[in-house]
Amino acid sequence: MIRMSSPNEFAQEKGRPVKGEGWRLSEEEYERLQDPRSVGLDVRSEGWRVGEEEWREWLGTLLRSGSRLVAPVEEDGLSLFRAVSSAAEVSLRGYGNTRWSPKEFLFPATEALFSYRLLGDEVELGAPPADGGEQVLFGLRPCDAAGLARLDEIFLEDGEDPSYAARRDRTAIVSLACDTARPECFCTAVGGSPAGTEGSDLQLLPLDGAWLLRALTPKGAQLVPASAAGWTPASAADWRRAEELRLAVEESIERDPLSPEWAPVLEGAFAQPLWEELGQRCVGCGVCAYVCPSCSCFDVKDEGDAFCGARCRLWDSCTLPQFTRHASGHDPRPTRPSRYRQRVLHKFAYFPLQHGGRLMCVGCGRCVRLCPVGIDIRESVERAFSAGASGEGRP
Amino acid sequence: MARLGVFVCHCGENIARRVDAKTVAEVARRLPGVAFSEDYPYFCSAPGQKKIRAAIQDQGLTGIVVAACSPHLHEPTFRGASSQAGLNPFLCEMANIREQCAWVHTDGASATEKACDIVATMVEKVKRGHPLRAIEVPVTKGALVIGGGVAGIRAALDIANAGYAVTLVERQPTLGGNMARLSETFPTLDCSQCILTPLMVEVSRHPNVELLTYAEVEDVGGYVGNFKVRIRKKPRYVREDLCTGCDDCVPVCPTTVPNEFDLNLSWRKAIYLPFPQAVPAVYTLDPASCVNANLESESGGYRVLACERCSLACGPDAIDFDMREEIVEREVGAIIVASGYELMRAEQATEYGYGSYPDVLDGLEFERLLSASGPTLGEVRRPSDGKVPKDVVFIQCVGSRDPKSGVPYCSRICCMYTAKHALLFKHKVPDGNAYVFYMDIRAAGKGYEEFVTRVMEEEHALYVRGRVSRVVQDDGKLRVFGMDTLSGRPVEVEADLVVLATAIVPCGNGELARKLRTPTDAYGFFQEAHPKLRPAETLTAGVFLAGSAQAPKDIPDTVSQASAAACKALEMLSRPALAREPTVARVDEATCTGCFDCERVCPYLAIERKEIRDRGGNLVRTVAQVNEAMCEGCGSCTAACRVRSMDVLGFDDEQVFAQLAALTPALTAAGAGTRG
Amino acid sequence: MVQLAESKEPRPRVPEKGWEPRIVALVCNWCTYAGADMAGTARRTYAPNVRIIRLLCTGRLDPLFVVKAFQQGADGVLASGCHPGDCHYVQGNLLARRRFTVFSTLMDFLGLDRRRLQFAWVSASEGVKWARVVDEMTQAVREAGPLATWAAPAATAPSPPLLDPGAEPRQAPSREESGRITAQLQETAANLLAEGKVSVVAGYASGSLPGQMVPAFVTAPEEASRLAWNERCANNLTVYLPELLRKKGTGKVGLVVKSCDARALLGLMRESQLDRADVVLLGVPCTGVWDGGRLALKCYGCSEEVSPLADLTITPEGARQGPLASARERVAVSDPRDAEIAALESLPPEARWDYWQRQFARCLRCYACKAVCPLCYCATCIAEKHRPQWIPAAFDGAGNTAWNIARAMHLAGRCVGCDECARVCPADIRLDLLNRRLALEIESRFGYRADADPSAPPPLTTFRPDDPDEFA
Repeated sequence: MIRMSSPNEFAQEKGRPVKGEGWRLSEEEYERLQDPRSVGLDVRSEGWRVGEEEWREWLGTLLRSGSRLVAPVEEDGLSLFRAVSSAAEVSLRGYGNTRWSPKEFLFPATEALFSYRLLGDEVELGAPPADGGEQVLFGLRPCDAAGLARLDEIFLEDGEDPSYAARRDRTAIVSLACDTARPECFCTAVGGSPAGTEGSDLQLLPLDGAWLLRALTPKGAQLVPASAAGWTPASAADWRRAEELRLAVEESIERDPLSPEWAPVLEGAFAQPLWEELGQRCVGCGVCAYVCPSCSCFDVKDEGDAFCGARCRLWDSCTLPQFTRHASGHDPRPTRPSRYRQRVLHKFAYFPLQHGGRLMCVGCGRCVRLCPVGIDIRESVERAFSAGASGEGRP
Repeated sequence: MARLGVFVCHCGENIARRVDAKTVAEVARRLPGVAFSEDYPYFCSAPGQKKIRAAIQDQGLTGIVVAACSPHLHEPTFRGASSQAGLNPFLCEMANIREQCAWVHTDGASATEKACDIVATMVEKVKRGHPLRAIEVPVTKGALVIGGGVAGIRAALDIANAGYAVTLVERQPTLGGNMARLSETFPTLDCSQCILTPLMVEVSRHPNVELLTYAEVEDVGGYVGNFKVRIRKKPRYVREDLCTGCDDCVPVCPTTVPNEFDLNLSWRKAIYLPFPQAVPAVYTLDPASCVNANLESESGGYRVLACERCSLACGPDAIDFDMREEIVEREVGAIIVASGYELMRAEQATEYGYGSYPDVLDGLEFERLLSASGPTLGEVRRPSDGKVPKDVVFIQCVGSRDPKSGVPYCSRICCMYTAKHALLFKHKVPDGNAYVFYMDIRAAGKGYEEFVTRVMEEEHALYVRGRVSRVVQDDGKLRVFGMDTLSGRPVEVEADLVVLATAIVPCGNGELARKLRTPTDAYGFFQEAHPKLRPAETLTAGVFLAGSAQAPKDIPDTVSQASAAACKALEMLSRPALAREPTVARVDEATCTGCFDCERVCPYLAIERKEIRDRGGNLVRTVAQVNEAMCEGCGSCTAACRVRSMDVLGFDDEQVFAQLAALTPALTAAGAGTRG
Repeated sequence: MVQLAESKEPRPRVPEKGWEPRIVALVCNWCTYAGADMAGTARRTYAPNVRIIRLLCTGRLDPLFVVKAFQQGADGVLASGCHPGDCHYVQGNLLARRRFTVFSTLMDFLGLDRRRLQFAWVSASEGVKWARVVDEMTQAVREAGPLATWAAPAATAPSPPLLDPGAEPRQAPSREESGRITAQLQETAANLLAEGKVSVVAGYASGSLPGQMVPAFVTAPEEASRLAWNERCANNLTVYLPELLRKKGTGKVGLVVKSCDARALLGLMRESQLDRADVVLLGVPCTGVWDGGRLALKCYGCSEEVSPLADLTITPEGARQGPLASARERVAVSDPRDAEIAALESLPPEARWDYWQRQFARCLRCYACKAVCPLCYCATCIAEKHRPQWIPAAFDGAGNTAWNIARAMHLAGRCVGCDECARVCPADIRLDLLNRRLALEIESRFGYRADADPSAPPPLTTFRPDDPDEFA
């Protein structure tokens, strides 16, 4: 599935800017958004200072309008994204980030591709079940929003996945900029920001006790309710405060960047003995991939009984023992270290080499926090790079 | 791709009356993988089987399901038909729509619907079935018979006469068992020893019989056709090859102890012959009672002997104080269990005072009193004072048919031997009175009823229907209190002697059963393979049953079962090799983790350890391996295997899952059912 | 089945019109199946709701068959075989009795209505009893109504009883003390490696997150300084043993263990996965694991400061041969989970069902629970077997429930309570409650503890003729 591209190809593809330098848009985006014909609104002026009542009321109207609203809720002490039936269920109190990413709402853990029925010697195929209409994902941290953008690249660029595309079309994303950083956070190290805009249609920027809501795309703009006319436009002070907060959070994330430019070096480090050590701790579970906002690998299996069932697309993880095991029993990645290497290199070498230098990691830090044995992918990338760069232990 | 055939039998109207066979056939035709289906009045009939064979060949079927009666009935029939048509018999399954459907449901619609479900499950099972081949096992041409009573002797003789080697093991120093203790036998009254001893002699002289008395089975290894038996021979301290049975040793022996053969009603010496006609006629020195207390000391070498009188008196010098216990090993193809019975300890029936009153005896003890070779040489004299008793009370069902005493079953022979006791007593003491307390008389053998009637009418034994509540002794008399349930009046009899017909119980089968890995029933008798169709076989292949080891029996039944068991054993021994059901466990060595839980749960010791080594010969892993000859296919190992490296051919996990996957409302959804 | 978008809601619990209970019977070939035939021969009519699956012996019965039956839409499952003592295969039904007893305890704890899962002894001659058993069960299940689909319950499910574990019986050790033990540990490890007594020492080192301690493997004396010990060393390192033993070469494997971790060795020895002589256990004095600043629940009731299995005990003063009781008086209180279990069992079954389904619905099937379990050493897990597909692959109520049942059953009588599965579960599923509930059941029923004598056979691989059962 992974095409190994050479450093030269990488060089040619280079030049595309790395997205997400905070809510201040890159020059060209700024220009594009300046042009009314392209978007139809002026981001600099479009911004409201909203309080909790206001956004809850707004979510209420979204629900009443019939769209599915997905937002962080509190369940048994965990914060999780769930489809809610009332705005009251949404809980942003003391919410750092959800236990796992919201990708399941674009890329379900189990998705029926088609259903089948066996009759005598004939097989009858059926369309997959239609699921839902419009959906709004609310309260995503910028890292998760960026993660969904990575999924877009995988499922929409070169060869569009119809069911993903359909779902993506019907989905609008309202992100929520961070007011604090957790120890595992490293969005800034991978080109993101606590207030990154990538993948967001609308964004809430925390102000003390209130929020600054702004639309980033036409889709986002359309979500802004009529009642917004009654909202207080954001003042220059509000913008400044939001910016201060962003900077404060960014500074609190002390990680050196994991540069996409390392990709060729990392790829070159494939045969380094060091992977043995890096992966030695790995116990071969799938937590990292399943909580990750950008992991997108899947398996396809039939689920059903003797007479009917469905062919399903199911999440899979490269760290699980069966991921690459062939029917013959042969496994090109027979050991946990070899599987862990795949995980690291896919995200930090192969993917950027193929997708214009974009990492397949958005720095949400979930894998770092939830790994049962405390493996830290940041550390792995850094050590693999320095080993690769110094060329020591090259075979 | 599977091409299955489904054959729905009407069984005349047995099935068709409730189940709409046509519908079932139509539904079956629409099941995934089914290429052909038809219904027919009697598929088990010759034309019916012909239709099946034809369909298999013409349609090129890869498996068939016969929806008819229980597989316990006709599975062999239809599997036979399949193999005749060139289809592996294990790709033929039966859907039981008669016993478990048509016969037990009244509503046609739901019965038909259920029949469809049953067919669907079996279709799924066959679809995932595999062709299996019978397992061939070589046979050691010899048998082991455990127990030297009449059952064991008969079985041993039958096998030996057929020309096969037999090892006959008897725990006691002599053959004969309980029958040797009996006086006369009902209903013909011929003398027990007169009919038994000739057999004892014959078996001991038989060239094909190896007689191991005073020996016990230590353990049994191996499996059907190939058992390895270790037998412990207790030291007699008298050399069988030298002893002439002259009896010179006995008079000089200083120690006297009660004689077990006479149930302690007489005395014997430390060196003794249990009874005159004992076989082999070899004396036994009982170390427990010999003054040379250290006989059994393993020190060996020089020992100080307190007494050597027997040794000095012995002409042929047969006494060997240094004799040791020895273990002999034998390989046999079949084992016949004839371990017999014993009587319930009469002490348990406390209300009758057995044990505390010397003149309360149990049936076997009274047999000895009646026996010409017994302690009183056949005269009836009571133990307490040797007087000839005038009034004797016989109490039946002591323990038997009494759940309280743990013996809910009928001991079967008590009614008859009590009648016999009464008769013999009246013959020996013509002026005596015999009272028999009974619950009811069970005389269901040839000539039995007539015998009991004779005892009642000609011998004037007084039969009282009712239980005895208690027996008390005062001034030399035994007062028997009971109830005559016919007259409804309480009865009290003054007796000189009371005889208890105590229940027949298994004699320590538990341990032997464990050694043989064969089940016993709730009471400890050996479990027969089938109460009606396989009464002389156990569920452990190659182990057969004779006599009271299986259940209480009289002599005729014992002897006929012994011959039946011998016949079953011969059937096996006469074959060049044994074919066993291939439905056995199989290991997937690739995934076996070697936890050996399978080994722990296997009742047949069929799990072996196999070492997997690399080219260098270094041990890589140790995995489980199934000895197909020992495996019975129960699947305990499969359920115990977490990694599921263990499976049972013919009932494998995939088949069970497929069957379950067919039991779904989707069957109706798929247009198959006829719901509503 | 696949979780279809529109089928997210549970099936209604009230019987639909015309609904008839579906009952699957898993029976043994020799007694119950013959008994059912007998009922037919005697024309004993009974409810047509039962579908019989014939096994050779109830000893063959895998709890996952039952789960599969339920997931195929059965409203009740009946298992039946020979009376105790009558088994065609000597003892299969006695093994089945234990397994089924434990399994029904689990299902009851998960909130499955007891009426839906029954076991009955039926002999080949008891056609009448068979008919009665089927009729009674059909009636009972009819009253219980259709089984809700195995999926996430409505959001209205009651919140779990969050009990306060109560005052922590102990304090975390002081930095100084941990420091002294760490120093001794480093020295001991260095010596062992230098003297070639071990080829590797598996211990703990600081992780990249604040205060985080992670597994570390040291193969050279000079690396020993990486090792450290404190109250945050949560991982059970025995999970690495099989791998380390495979790679160890000539030397032995040195392992830093808490007493709870070390118990796993008993299981591995019991199941011939381990030669004790290949392992050198470095027992560290443990006052408990402080997970996220709170004493781990497993530690409340633990009074073993140093594992009695330790080959060397690392004390602040130095390494001592063998296990060593510390001078400190070890305070243990009752395990808070017992109160939680009691609270759960006081709920009505439906509430328990929702409680667990709600958690299972969260299960990510990341299999971290099995990955960190020292006793889940199977090279290929049942969850990875596709022929048959033991555990539905779909990430939904059915698949997740099947997996969690399989995991709990496979650990029944084997789990030593290190709680790693519960600690690492990203969905916070209370696996520790499941494990503990079964451990308690097995101890009270069969007097067996997985952390006792390694030579004792695992409780589900043996039986006593007088094992308790409440089966009809």
